Amino acid sequence: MLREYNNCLPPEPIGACFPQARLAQAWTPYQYMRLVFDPEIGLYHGTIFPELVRPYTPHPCTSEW
Amino acid sequence: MNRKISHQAHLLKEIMSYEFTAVELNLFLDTHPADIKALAEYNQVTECLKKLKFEYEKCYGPLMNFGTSPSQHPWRWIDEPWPWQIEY
Repeated sequence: MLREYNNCLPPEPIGACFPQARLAQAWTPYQYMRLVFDPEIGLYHGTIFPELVRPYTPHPCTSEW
Repeated sequence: MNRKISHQAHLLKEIMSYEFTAVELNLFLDTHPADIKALAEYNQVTECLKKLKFEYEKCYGPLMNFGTSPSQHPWRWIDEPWPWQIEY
């Protein structure tokens, strides 16, 4: 049962980096096994699934990475 | 880098890459337990990994201690180089 919080719903937390950010809900498609990398190449990419090779660059908020 | 260490490092790198592939397939199978292709791939990688570890341990002694791997005589766990002395 939902308890009252000062007679209203608790406020949604505000993101420090993006004040407009909202709490998340996630959906992801089902993964099907197709081709996979050879072990050495997989270790290099950090995944054996070619469709998951997505190098990302740090966001300004996390520039220390 | 001398020849022995180069062979040792090569074998270790192969073991690492096969272990990584096994982890990936393991995680995939956790959510896709009926995927025959993934399971066949996992079993094949497991077999290769077993052979690689056997070959490594035959040449360079146990990969793990405390009863996981046997050792030739004399006790080989203390053989150099230590892991941090190997140049990959």
